[in-house]
This record gives sequence, structure tokens and C-alpha cells, in this order.
Amino acid sequence: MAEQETPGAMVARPTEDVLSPDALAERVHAGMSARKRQEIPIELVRDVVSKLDLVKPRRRRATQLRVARLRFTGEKHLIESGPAPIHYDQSFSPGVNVVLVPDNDVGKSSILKTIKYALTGDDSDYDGDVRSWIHQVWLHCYIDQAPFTVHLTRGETGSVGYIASGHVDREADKAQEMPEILETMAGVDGIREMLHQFFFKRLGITGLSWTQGTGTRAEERTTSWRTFFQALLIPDSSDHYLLLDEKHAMGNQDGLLLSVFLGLSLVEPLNALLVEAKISRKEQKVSEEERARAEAQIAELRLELNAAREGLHQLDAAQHARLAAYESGPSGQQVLELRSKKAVRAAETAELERRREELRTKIQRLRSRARALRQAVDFRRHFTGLEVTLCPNCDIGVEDAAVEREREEHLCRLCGKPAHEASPDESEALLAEADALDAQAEQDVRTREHLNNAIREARAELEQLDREEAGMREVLRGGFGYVLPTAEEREKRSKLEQQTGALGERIARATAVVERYGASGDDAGLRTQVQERVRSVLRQEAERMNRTVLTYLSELTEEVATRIGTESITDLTCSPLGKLTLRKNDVPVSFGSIRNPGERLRVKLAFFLAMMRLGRIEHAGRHPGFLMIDQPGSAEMVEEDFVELARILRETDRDYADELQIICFTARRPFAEASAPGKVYGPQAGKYAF
Amino acid sequence: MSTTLLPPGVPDRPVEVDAARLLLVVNQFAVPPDEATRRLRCWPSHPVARVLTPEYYLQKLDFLVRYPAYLAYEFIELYRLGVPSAADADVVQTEVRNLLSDREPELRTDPFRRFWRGAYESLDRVEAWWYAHGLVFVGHERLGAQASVRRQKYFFLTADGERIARSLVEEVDHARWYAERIALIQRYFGELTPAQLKSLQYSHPSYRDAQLNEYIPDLAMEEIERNFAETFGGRLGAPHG
Repeated sequence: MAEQETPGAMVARPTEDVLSPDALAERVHAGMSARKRQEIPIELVRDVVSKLDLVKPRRRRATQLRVARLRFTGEKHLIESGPAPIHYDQSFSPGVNVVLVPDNDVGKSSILKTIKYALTGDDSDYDGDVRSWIHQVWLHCYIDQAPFTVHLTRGETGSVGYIASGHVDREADKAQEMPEILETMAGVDGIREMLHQFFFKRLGITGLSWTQGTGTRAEERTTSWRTFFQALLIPDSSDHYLLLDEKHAMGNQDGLLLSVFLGLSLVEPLNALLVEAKISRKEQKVSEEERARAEAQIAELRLELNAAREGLHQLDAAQHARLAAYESGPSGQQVLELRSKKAVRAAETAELERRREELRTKIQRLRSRARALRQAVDFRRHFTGLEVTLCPNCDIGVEDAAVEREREEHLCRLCGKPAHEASPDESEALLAEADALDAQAEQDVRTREHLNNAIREARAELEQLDREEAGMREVLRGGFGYVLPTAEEREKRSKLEQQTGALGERIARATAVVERYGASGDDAGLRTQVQERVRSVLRQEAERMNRTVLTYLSELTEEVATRIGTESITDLTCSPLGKLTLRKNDVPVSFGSIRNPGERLRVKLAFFLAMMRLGRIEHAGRHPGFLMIDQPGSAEMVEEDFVELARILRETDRDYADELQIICFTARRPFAEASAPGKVYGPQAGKYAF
Repeated sequence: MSTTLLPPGVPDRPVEVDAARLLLVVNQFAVPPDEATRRLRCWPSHPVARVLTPEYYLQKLDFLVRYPAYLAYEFIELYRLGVPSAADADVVQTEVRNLLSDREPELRTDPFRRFWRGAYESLDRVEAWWYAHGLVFVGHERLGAQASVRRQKYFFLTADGERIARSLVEEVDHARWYAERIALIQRYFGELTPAQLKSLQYSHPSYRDAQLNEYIPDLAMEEIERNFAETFGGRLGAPHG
């Protein structure tokens, strides 16, 4: 793109620099690592790119819209004066026009709304009573230099209208006779749709579309002419939005509109990728959640299924056992033999238990004895210094001589017989005996464990014999009926079979969910990666392609802002998706943070004027150069600011009348200075606008 | 030392073992003498610190020391009978489980021989040993004029006996275990009279039905588990031998 020194000059045609789909796909794929290139085939990248509309034809200059004349008729019903016919007829000029009706609630805004109604078919802004007053509307306009007429009629049978070339005044019922007729319209929706298509086509904005995520899908929406028209209107200076109100700004429509006004490249594909990526991420998350939920459900269902199958198996086993018992044909003799066998086994078990009890007692005694021996060694050691001082037989104390005799001759101090002196060897012998006793006890413990096992087996066998005997008795008593399933068993089996079948079906369904979301989750993840990479490359391209236009916008805005005295902003930048950033002394500020309403209006006006002027530049913006301002300078604006605003508009009219048209609707007399006297229009019905 | 050569009722352990253990029992349960006791004819001529009587009381206490399974059972009985020292169910259950989870019935039971009136072993050797070392003096006193009235035995604990009991606990591990067990028994059974203690033990069939001079069989774990479940409503969960 050629460098441009001053705004207003022609911008070089940028279309030859647009990246082709193949080149974009190759560039994206080449930018991936080798591992990623193996994981993500170029076909997937091409598929993502193929869904993008990369090339937009650029017009040489934006088509200009100008309203030449508004005429409408009807009948108004005022309380104080009763019904009165309406004949409003007003011509408008290029540049700044002022509809000055010095009073409130006299219909000024209704004129604006009628122009809007004629251009869009949208009458929702009307007050309810006013809507019913206006019966027929003629709007003469120019699209570039071509004249057109829009006519709408409301009747008892509904709304009808036509679009004709040239400026005509015929009524709708005469439309078929008119050679100038381009389109006829019927019904509220039909009128809106026709006007939408007509102005989109004539103003070169037919390609304006965007995608919005709804739930789990992305829906492509087309910005309607009615939404677009919001950007040709400054309804009230008390608003805190720059371009679109919250209701219309959803889905980044304000950014898209701005990008269209500015003629930015690659806006739609960038936006489409953004929304698609969001949807893909959402799908992936949904996939993961659904898959996890399904897997957990499968695990629970399998447990239930296994339990149900086990129940059926138990029923089968019980019946088989009964059948086997029946087929083996027990007799009374067999029962007696079984009982005899039981008695023998019981006696054996009792003997085992007796032996175990004996062994337990023996182990206790062995351990007790071993412990006593060890205690004896310790206690004797402790009592070594404890002297015998009394004779327990005669209660007389021991004489010293007897003690001496014991020490030297080893004769008992009490009875005089040879005394036994404990030796270390004796202690060792006691401890050794204690160890031997403990070892014996441990061996007996092992023997007892064998007895325990034998007793357990014997008891289990006795229990089995008990069951067999009980079964035999049942067979003898019940005959073949013993074998057949009981009513309770039949019912239980039926329930388990139904349960098994239902569980199998539910497991199959859940497995299908796992497979479906497993595949889609993986696909969604790869697709998201590709979308993000494509978007990154496109963003770079968009920045390159839009650099000149955005520079122009910033310069134009600053120029206008300087002229109209707006100190709030020192810089204005715009992203490829139309996101505006205002700066004041290099600090980002938002439009809504500008507190003074007059200041906000000047900022907005500077911005709109810049956009409208950009539209007059070749290959730059596409704003149609038409703007309506309702009640500029509302009650909050101080008088000096209001006068200043009027002066700004006067200068705008002086300098840019051939490039744009602004129609202001106001009740404040000082605003008569906002334009040349010939372009200030008063009320047409007394104090009322119409 | 062979058990088969000993006369009935004579224990087959070294005298020091019984002397030390029973000294600790006497030391724990003996009380200061009252005036009536001081006027006994069998009052020793040597200084006395405290007194324990009658003999069967000492034997019954010794039985609880030597049969952990019975001790566990009696804990449950004390709770069931509403004895204040065993009023806390959780504490009692814990004591019972501790006794049985450490396998004490198997590892710590010292079998008692059955004599005419239950668990009894002759203490002659122990008494002589005590006397000779001046630790515990033993006296007999008939409480009544008639010859048919049995004599009651008194154990007179000396200051030396108290000192030796303390030194045993401080220096010998076996003695320390005995002292802790005896203190546990006193915490729960200290409020009971000797007669009440005797009647508790007679209630067990295995105890009651043991033959003369035979070892009193230990209590079966099943019996303790049944009593536990009936009293506390839960499972004991103790290992079986």
C-alpha cells in the first residue's frame, strides 16, 4: 500500500495484497512445529480457511446518502384541540440542517423517527399515539447522485409501500402504474426486509455479516439495516456509548459496524474465527464433561449388572443343587447313614477340641514355669543383700556368731546344717531351663495351630453335612416339587432378567456417548488449535492492511477534535475487529468515563465526523455521510458549551457541506447558529413541528 | 524342682517368686491397724506398719493377678453389677480389650491349684521366708470362744517389708509388671469386701467344678465374648488361642 502524507488523498487500492486461502493455509501450516505438522494435516487447515471470506471488494469511495425531502400526512389527536390533519413537508440541504421547534413534546423527535421509519421500516421508536397519527410518508433521498423515493402507507389492512427511482409523490395504490417503481412492499416485515436489501445493496454493505455463539452452535447473523442505522443516529447526548447501545452491541456488532465504516480488511473472517474458536472450546468442554459423565455411568451400571448376574447365578446354583439332590434319590436309609457320619465327625471334632484345650493348658503351664524361673533369677539377685535376721520358728534374732559361722563354714545360721549357696551356674541353669520351656511352648503352639485348622475343617464339614441332611429331608418331604422354582424364585428371576436386559441397553447407549464425544472432543481440540493459528496470521495481515486507514482515522479525529475543542482525547486507535481505544495523555480512557455530557457529545461528534470524512476518501471508509442528531445539548449541557457546539456545527457545515449531511432536531434557540439561516427550519403547525 | 514330688497344695515355683509377688499384694492392700487389731494376742513383738486379713482375701487377690482371663471377665461383671469403680462402659471395655489383645491369658496365666474352698496354695514357705527376713509377720487369731470357730490369719507388714516392696518395683521389671497389675485390681476391686470378692469367683462353673488339687482351668474366650456381648451389646473382637 502506497504511503500517504495527508488525509483526504486517495489511498492505494489494497485488494492485490489480500492473502489467498491456499497461501494462508500454507503459511499457517508452515508456522507449526514439525510435531504439530504431523498431528495437524494441512487439509484441516485448508478446511478451516475455506470457511472464511477473505476477500472483500473495496469501493473507490463510500456511497453517500442524503435526505432531500420528507413529507408525511395523517391525523393527529391532541386532547386540547381534538383531531387535526397532518401535512408535513420539509426539504433538506447538504451539510448541517437544523429543525428548531422551541418547545418540548411538540413532535421534533417524531420527525427524526419518521425519517428513520422511511429509511428502515422500523417504527418502534414512535410514541404509541404518534404512530397511529402518521398514515403516509414520502422520503426523497439521494444515494450518491441518484434520486430515490421511499413511500410507506399505513391502512386498515396493513402497511404497504414502494421504492421508486427519482422523486415522486404518488400514493401506494398507484404504484403499479408508475414506470419508476423499483420495488413494492407489503406488511411490516416485508417493508423492513425490502428496505434492508435496497439500502444494503445501494450503499455497498450487503456483505456485512457476523457469527454469534448460541448454546453449542455458531449461528451466522447478518447485521440488519436497522442496526446499521443506529450508527447514523445520535439519539441523545446523555448516552454513554460511542456507537451502539448495549442491546445492539452484542456479538461485537459495534466493532463490526465500525470496521465497515472504516473499511477495515479481514474483519469478518477474524470475527468468524473468534466465535468458531469459542464454540469449539465449548464443544470440547461439553465433550469432555459428557464423556466423563458417560464413563462414570458405565462403571456404575456394570456394577449393577454384575450384581444382577450374580443373583441369577445363585438362583441357578440353588436349583441345580436341588435337582442333583433329587436325582440322586435320597432314601430314609441314606439320611440315617448321613446322620451317622455326622455323629462320627462331631465326635472327632470334640476330641480335637479337647486336645486343643489340653494343649492350651499345657502351653500356659510351660510359659508360667519358664516365667517363674526367670523371675526367680531376678528376684534372687535382688534379694542377695537381704539378710535373714529372725528365726521364723522361735522368733529369736540370729546371733552374730551364727552369721559368722555361716560365712566361714557355710553352716545355716538358723539350724546349723550345711547351707546351700546359690552359684552363678545355678542361675544359668534356671535360665536355660526357662528357654527350653519356652521353646517347648512354641512347639506346642504350632501343634495347636494344626489342631485349629483341623477343627475348622471339621466344623465346615459338619455344616455341609447339616445342609445335606436338611436338603435330603426336604426332598423326601416335597418330592419333585422340591426341585421346581418357588413362586418367590420365579419372581426374583424375572426381575433380575429384566434388570439385566435394561442395564445392557443403558451401557450400550452410554458407550456410544463415550465414543461420540471422544471423537468429537479430539476433533474439536485440533480444530480449535488450527483456528487460533489462522486467526493469529490473519491478525498480522489485518494490522498490515489496515494500518493506513486507521492512521487516517486517528489523524482525522484529532484534527476535528482540535477544531471543535475536545481535550478529552489525545489519541485514538482501533483494532482490526473495530475495538476502539481512546487515550488521554497516553492513558487509556473509555467513552463512558467522560463525565461532561457536552464533552461526550463533542467526542462523539468528532469521531462521527472523522468517519464520515473518511468515507469520502478513496479506498478508505464506507460511511454514507449521513447523520441525525436528536436534542443536541440536553438539559445537562451548560449554555456556553451549547453555543460552542452550535459554532462547531456551523464550521462543519461551512467546511464539509459537500461531503456530508447532518440533521439536528432541537428546541433550543441558540442552536439556530449551528447552520446557515436557510438551513434552519421551524415548526409547520403553530407551535408543533407538524 | 519336680512338681510330682510336692504334696498337694504346694506350689512348684521357687519361694522367692511367690514371696515377692505376694509381698507386693500385701503392700498394696494392707491397711493401718486399728485399736482392735493392736489388741490381738497374735500382735507381733516387732514393729508393724500395716495389716492385711484374712488369708483367703490374699489368695483371691492373687488369683486375679494370676488369671488375666478371669480378671477381664470380672471387669465386665463389676460394670454389670453397677459397682461405682466400673461405671464407665467405655473405660471398662477398653480395659477388657487391652487385657485380651495382648494375649495375656496365654502368656501371663500362672495356674492355681484348687483346694477345698477354691483357689488356694499353701503359703507356709512364703510366710517363713518373709518372717526370716523381717518383711511380713503372720499371726493367727480365733475370733470367738468356741473351738469350732476357725482361726483367722493376719499378715503384719513391717517397714522393711514396705521398703523392699518399693525397691523391687524400682529395680526389677517383673515386679514392676506385678505392681501395675495389682494397682489395676485395687482400682476396680478395692471397694469390695473379701467376701464379695470370693463370691464373684465362685460363680464360674469351671472354677467351681475344678477337682481338688487340680489346676483351675482358665476361662474360655467364648465365655468372655458372650458376657461382653450381652453386657455391652457389641463384639469383643479378641484373638483366640
